[in-house]
Amino acid sequence: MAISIISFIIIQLPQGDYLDREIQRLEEEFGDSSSLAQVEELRERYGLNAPLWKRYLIWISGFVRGNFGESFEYKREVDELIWDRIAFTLIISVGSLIFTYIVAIPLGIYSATHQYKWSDHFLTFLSFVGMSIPAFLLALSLMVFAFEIFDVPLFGLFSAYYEGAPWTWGKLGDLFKHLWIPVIVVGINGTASLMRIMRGNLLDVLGQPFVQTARAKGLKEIVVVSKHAVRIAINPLISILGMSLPGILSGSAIVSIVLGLPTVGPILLNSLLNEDIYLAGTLIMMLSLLLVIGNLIADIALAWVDPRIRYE
Amino acid sequence: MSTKKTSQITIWHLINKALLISLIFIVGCSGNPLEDLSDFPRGIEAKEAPMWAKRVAAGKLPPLTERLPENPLVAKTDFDGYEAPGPYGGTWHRFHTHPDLGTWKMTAGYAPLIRWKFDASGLEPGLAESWEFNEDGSMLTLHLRKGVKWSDGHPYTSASFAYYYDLCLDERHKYGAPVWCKVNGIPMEVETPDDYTIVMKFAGPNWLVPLWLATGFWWCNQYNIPAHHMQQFHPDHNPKYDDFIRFEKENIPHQNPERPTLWPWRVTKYEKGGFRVELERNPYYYVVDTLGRQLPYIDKVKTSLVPEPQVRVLKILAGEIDCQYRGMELRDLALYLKGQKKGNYKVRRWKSTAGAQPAILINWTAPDPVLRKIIRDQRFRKALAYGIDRVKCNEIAWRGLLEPQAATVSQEGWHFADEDGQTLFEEWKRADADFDIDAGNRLLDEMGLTERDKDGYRLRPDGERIEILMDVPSSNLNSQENDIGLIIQEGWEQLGLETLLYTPPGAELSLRRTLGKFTISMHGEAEMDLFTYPDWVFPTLPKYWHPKVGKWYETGGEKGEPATGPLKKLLDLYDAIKREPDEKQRHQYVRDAVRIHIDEGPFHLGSAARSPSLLVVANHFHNVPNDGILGPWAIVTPATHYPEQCWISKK
Amino acid sequence: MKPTIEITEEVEGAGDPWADGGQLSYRQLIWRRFRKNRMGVIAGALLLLFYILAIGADFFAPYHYNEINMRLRHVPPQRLHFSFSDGFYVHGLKSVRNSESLELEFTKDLMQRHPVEFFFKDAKGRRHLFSSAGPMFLLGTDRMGRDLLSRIMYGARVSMTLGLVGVLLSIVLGSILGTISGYWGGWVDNLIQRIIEILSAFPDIPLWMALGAALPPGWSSIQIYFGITIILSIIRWGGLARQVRGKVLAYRESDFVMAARAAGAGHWHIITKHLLPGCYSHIIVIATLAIPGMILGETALSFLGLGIRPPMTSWGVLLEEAQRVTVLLHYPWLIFPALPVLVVVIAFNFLGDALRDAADPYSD
Repeated sequence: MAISIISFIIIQLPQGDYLDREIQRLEEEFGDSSSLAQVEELRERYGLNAPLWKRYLIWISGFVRGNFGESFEYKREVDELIWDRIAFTLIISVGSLIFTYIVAIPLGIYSATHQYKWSDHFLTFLSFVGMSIPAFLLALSLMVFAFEIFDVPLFGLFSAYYEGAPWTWGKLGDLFKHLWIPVIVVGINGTASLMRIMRGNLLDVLGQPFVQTARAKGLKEIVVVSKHAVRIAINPLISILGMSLPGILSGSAIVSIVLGLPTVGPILLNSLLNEDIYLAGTLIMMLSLLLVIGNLIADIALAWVDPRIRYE
Repeated sequence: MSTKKTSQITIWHLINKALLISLIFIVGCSGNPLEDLSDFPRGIEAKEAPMWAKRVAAGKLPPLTERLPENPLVAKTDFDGYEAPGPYGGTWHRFHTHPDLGTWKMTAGYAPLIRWKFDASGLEPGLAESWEFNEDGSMLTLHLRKGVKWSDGHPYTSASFAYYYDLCLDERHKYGAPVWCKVNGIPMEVETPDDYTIVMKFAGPNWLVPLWLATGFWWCNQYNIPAHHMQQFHPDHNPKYDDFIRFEKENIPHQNPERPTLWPWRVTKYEKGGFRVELERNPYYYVVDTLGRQLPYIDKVKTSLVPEPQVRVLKILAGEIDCQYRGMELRDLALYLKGQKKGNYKVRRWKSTAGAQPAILINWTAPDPVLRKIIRDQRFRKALAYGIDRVKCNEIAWRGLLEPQAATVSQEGWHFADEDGQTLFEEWKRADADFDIDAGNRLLDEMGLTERDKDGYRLRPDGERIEILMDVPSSNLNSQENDIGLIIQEGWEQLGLETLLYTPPGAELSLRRTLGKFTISMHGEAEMDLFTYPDWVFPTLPKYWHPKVGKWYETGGEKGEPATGPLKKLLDLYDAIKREPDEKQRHQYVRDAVRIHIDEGPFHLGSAARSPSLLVVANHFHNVPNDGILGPWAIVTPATHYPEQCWISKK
Repeated sequence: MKPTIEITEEVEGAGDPWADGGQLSYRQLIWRRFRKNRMGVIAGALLLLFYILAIGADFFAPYHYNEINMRLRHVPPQRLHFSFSDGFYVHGLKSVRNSESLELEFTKDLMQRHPVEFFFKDAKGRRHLFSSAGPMFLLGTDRMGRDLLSRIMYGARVSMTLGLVGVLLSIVLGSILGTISGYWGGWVDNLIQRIIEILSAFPDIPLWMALGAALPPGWSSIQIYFGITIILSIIRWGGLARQVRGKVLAYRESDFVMAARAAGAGHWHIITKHLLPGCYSHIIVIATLAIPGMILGETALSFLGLGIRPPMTSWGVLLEEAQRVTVLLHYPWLIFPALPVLVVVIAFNFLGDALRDAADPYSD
């Protein structure tokens, strides 16, 4: 509810409305906006003259019934435009998330248990580089690199042949072939920082009295780390899971814009820029819902891993 | 315990390895299966495409003679770059930059009653074979081509236009009658004495109507309505609907595969809001080549939405595009040229006909009254013109590919076709177009703006600093407008005028423009036909350098500010154009208006102009003109060269 | 591993870890530990150097960042030579216009030498640490013929300073509320968590865009950026608060807190003496990650066209300008601004890491 109100306010914030934007676009692109006659009539029809609260009520009551309104720019039902894109966004995001955790946790553990060894320094340095590269730069560079060196055009999610073709194994393979660049680019920032956090946490935990006690009991270091320390050190990581979702979604948006992927990112940016309010509003709501669900899953996972929280 | 730990580690290892292997596998198994080319090509003996011939043989489609009109339109081939009639077949791969498919409609969405000629020198028959006015220009009669059919085989008749005009007059429809059919505010009357005659009766002389019918692809896509198909969504015929919302949606030509069309290719697939659109040849298309073979040659078109310019660049470099008319940026020219061999394409340079890229608009009705008075002094505007280093604008923003000049409309426009016209145009181009800070300063001193503050800026008569706020479009940091803004700022500061660049957020820019809230703004300028789109020269619409005066003219004096001085003279000239039966005299009025711009202007300032428009044409793609105009919308290019006669040879 | 020794230390430390240093305060202790970390010290020095260069860009940069050279567009980086007669010098440039693409192409003019002058005085009377009368572009020029090196220095000014405010704000807010939330639990925790959830349920890009569009139109781009940073940090504290809360939750039931509580210590005492120090290292880790995050955020904003706008420059603007296939393939030196971004972000991380190790009460 609160989210929906904030979403709606956000999309209403900019001055002017879609039609002003459309006029601007047509004029900038072609020097003429006469193809968009009857501006006032359109404004009336889209209900852009109604007061804010009324528009909100109309929008939200439609939203809960699954009627998201009509996109001005595409002149289609929002419903028709978004599901594919949400699916691809999920594929990329989940892929990046899996990539992030699979790579980051072992490296973090390794780094922490080898503190100040050269391998730790190397990994630390690598993770810093990973954290420091702006995603959009990496995305474009990788794309150009792949094209120039290997002569494979890797933009989009499918090659020209499979675009629009029905789903087959070949098409799935083609998708995976194109997926690795966005997954790595989106995941790399998260991986690096997650690794740092894992290392930090584990070092913290390794300094704790109960770990010392375990050591004092004469347990082997490997057992101390895996049995006692890692489990505790992973807890905050799981609560981070929820927190890292917005970053991943934003990251996938930026990378998709650069690579021209059919995810939510480019269409959201565009709809916000063009004040295509119902499309933008629906997308923001959907992304927010995704994040809420993600957080919920993270909370459940945390309670599942750490019994102490369950006892509340 | 330690065994458990080891097993954990091995699991990690396994997962990592599996991931790596699958990645390698996925990357490895590339290789694009080629498209099915078995049907292709079939030589040039056939009068129709093999894909239709098969269907005719199977009895699923009427024979060609029944599909073509009695007197089909023959595509013109009188351009440099026309090679030969081509074989049927193939798929044309391209992209579009916006879901409205505008770039495609300009290529093959042009089926007007009357067409613009490819060289933009006048009109030629389209769906109408001929047309004539009565003596006083108050009645236009159009004679339609007999036997033209919609893409579903239903005959196209005068009823289609009548249906459209009825919709225009329908109160519930909310779309009023178009601007061009009104004379003194009274809309025309349409009569259809038979299936092939349209008579338009106006309240007075309306000589420009044939131009309006030919101009801009949006008009023909509005007045060509397949009544027999659309009827089912009309509230009067289907009680399911009580408004026109569904009707409007179904009436968008590129979004509705079921809606019959007159285009050379009909839409067969429209996915996800235009993310991918597929088209195939229209079996009833009314245009043939010089051998009488039905067009188009190419079977299918696949076009996908690529809004991101850098992805477009890579797509072209990778050779994925067969032919692309719009959507390339000039600053990538060197890259495109270098990639020609690898990408198996050639870059061609057509004319954009732009007269200023961008034009610097000086708001005639600037909001600040003191500044407005200063701006209305011709010497001030001249001084601003002298303060622009156009050579620098050209070199920096456009790599020296353009020509530095004053702001004009298109030199290729038909108003300036003869020698006198060109002489006048050359004078216009050079008017106050030198970079001369001293001359500028002299003019400002002459005006009495000699007082300066401690920072060296000139003061207004009321003692405040002259502060010029320049609106710069925000589309892109790299945009030429930004670079040119910086250069102009540099020059004007040397005139002692404080210049601030302002990038309005959101739709603010267009609001400031149309409401006339800006002082200085920027806008690309190009116009081929000033009869239908006069507003760069004549202040007829709330746009460009005259938003409020344009509003006044548009609303018949109800809103805005009345025209005075030179603007009044310009509007009088435009009124004369609308009443003038003689085309030559109409052109003369335009030249008179240009004379006013030269003598009493400048009203808007130039930077650099006449950029080439880039085309990418694959080596296997034929019949694309070597030169042409790819500029403003009014002349629907490249559709005027009949792209349906392009063909593809085996790669 | 020598567990026995460690345990003895730990027993001492656990009792009263920071009063133990005798005459050394906690801060001095951190400083002493910090100095031992060579990487951290180097990173700190590097950052200091960057800040000095950024603040003194007017003097250190060879040219003004908006000095346009019409005929020197896209000049590749020039090599610096040294000879005893001329000192440091660069060769002159010869340009040829490519007949087809009309691009200018540059070659070295070996006959010409432009010596580098120190404490150079330019046409407007401004002093530069080093510059040259002839064209001298050690990192090349951009599409308007502006010196990239100078632009990077001026850009550093904006990029390196802007993020600090935002990070500071979000840290203060995040750690206070996070601790409260984790320690007291109950409805306080619930309320704070819900607020965080609502705030964090918004992906930042649309938020940036909307806020960018909603800020007053009269503002200059730097004011707009400051506005966005502050708004962002007020919204972003949620992430930090959550992590601190997680930490506090984990510590709350730990032995030493239990012991303190059993000994009758007050809430304030427990929070400031036992819980916050426990989270201290964590907060620092997050903070050091957040400052570069802000710097990177600026680049992302500029990439979307919502950040700093010309004529002002920043690293984000520079990188945005390099975001073209043409640039990557034909003018690769324009990606160079990525390097200072990388270096500064890494330096911040090393610094933070060193601080973290120094502040960790259980290390050594």
